[in-house]
Amino acid sequence: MPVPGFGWSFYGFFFAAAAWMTLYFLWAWRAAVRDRQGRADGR
Amino acid sequence: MAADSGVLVWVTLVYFLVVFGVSVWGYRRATSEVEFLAAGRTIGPWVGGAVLAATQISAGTFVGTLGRLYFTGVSWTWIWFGVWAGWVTSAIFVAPKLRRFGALTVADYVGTRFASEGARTLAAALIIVTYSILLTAQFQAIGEIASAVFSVPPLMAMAALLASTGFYTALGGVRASSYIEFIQTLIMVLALLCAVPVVLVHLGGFTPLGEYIGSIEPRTIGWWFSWKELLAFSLSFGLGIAAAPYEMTRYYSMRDVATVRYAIGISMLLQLVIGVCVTTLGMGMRGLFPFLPSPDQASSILASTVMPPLLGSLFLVAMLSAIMSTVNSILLVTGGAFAHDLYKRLVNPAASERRLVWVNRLSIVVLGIIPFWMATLKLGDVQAIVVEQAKFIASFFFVPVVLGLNWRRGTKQGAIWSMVVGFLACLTWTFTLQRSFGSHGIDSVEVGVVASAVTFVLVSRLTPPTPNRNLAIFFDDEGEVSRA
Repeated sequence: MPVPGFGWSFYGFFFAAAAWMTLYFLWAWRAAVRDRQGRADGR
Repeated sequence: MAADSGVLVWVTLVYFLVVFGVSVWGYRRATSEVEFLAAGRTIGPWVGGAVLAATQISAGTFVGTLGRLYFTGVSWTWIWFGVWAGWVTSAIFVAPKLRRFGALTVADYVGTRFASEGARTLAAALIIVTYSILLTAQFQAIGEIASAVFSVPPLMAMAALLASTGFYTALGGVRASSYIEFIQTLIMVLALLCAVPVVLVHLGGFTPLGEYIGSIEPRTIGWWFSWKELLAFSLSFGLGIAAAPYEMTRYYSMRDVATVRYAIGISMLLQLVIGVCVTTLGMGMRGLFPFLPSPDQASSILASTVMPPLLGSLFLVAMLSAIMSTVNSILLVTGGAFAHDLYKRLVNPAASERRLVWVNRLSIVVLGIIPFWMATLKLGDVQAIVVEQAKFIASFFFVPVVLGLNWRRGTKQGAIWSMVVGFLACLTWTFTLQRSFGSHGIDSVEVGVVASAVTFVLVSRLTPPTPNRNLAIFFDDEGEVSRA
């Protein structure tokens, strides 16, 4: 529920930060999987 | 007032006992250079993430950033995306290759990648000079905080900071420092998380806060800064973080490449928590004390007046932790640059591991005393010194690191000249042309990085390529292979 007074400069930060962190960890996890597969393939 | 109470003494005492206990534990295990400078490459993602967060968060976050949020409101929070862009740049283009390389110092990378002892020496010297200046600012900051909050003479506070931080850094090296920084980050997060509800209870919650500070100055709950201004500030922060030597050396201490990536993510999450808390506290203090003579007083008044003694003491110890972790990280980098890159390479290549560890310790002490002495001379404004040195580091280091790790054709001549030209361009712009063109949004860091990049590419194109044996570790895909 929006807090009176604050605008998108406030709410937008939280949405953007949540998206940023999610995308980052998704990338880190996929990179780790790729590294493991690379090791398994003997590279 | 918390600062006068016995509670503060006890909280500080317990904090120092834990710090010194961990450093003694680290001392027993620091038997070689790889143990002292890279913690035996044993640091995991949680401790690693906390370490990276601790090096990022300084007294400036608690005093300067909180003060700026007090004055300008919520839009300054968006600067964190510039900081995180720097971290992500590092995670994608810098950290995996450096960890795979698995050396001990940043100058190690420069020397090996560009097959040049000259480039290594120049990098080590520039790091020592610029970080000693940054350390000067940290000493000045503790002097000013101690004087304002505790009425303690600045010289005494500076000496206490040098003695305590220098002692545990020299004793335990990176291993002890990493676990101490983990504790320091926990203290910072805990103190901030405890402070937020206290302030909000005083104000009656978020709704009255938003309405009240919006009625004082509408821009505090909207966009004080334009997107162009935020982008310019973000660029300055991001460029500095992507290739910051005191962050980069910590990658070497982590278990493997995946650990480094996760640690950077955890560090950003911790920074998010800290950033949101600092934003709330900054705006909250504006709601409680709308007309402070200086915004920088907001954090000390918060700790001493608004919070109960125990939480106020915890908040002050968190501020102390922030400054100690920054000083500790700088000392490890400058000490390592001197002992590993200058002493071992130029003075005594046959030095034993035991001797190198002790030269590291001695370097940390000496390179702590010099900035301490410079701080007593009060060479400039703290915030200005911190900001300017970050711009200089980015100007001479961003290109050799980020481009050097991702463009095979970069050469030693390109690296050396890009460092020299980047440094001089930043210097020239800062002291001459910034006054004329700064108002158009062109900052010295942007000029320094662009000049450095152009020089790197042009000179590299005109000079012989680096031998393949030096490039293999950085450019051939070798998965998780790492040198211990």
